Amino acid sequence: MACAVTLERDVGIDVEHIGRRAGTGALAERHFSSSENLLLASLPSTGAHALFFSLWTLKEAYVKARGLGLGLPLDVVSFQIVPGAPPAVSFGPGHDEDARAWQFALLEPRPGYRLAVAARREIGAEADFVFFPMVPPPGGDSASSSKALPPAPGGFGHFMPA
Amino acid sequence: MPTTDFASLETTLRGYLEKLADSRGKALPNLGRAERLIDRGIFDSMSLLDFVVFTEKSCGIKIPGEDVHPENFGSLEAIMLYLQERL
Repeated sequence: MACAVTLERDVGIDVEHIGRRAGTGALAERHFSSSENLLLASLPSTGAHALFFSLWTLKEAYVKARGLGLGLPLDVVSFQIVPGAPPAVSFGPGHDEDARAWQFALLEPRPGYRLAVAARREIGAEADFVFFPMVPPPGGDSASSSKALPPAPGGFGHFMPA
Repeated sequence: MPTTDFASLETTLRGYLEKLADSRGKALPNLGRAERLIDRGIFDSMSLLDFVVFTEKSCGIKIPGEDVHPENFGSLEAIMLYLQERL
């Protein structure tokens, strides 16, 4: 379980277990952008599977932040994931949003899981995501057992011990 | 235009629901037609859209996002009623 809190800004969060197998290829074909599908097709199956869940959690986090439910076509929201930087978004034709007004974080809260956060921000301003594990994993240090994808640079987000 | 065999289609969709339930670690014995799918733990957003894509391919139609809501996809009965209107 995960939750995201802001004082004033739109925010959305999603977490998925990447062990699921059913239907990911057909879902990507139907709901991912052409650039996302091209990237998925260029990767070996293990890498493509992990990327699918990274992209999916980002899209779901954004849809939740917008409060639009499944009525929003997911393929008009396209992500680029570059190591060492927050995920970047671009919007397709007909989706009237400014990509500079959104900030995203993508993390691996535990092995085998993806977590994404989407938050609206002032255009050009950097939001600071702070992550608090609510329940420490059994037998582990909650801070060290979570890692950011990609590794979190300063200002992108960080984990705090419970 | 060929006539749709809705009984066969329902069997196909029921089978895919069982597969989705299995992928989420759920068993799906004796699913009632009017039973709420979300109550059986079958649907989250990903499995719901997975099912919608499967239904699109099975029926040769495109289902717009605004049609994907509990009134149309809340139960097997609702799904079949929706498809009977569309096909």
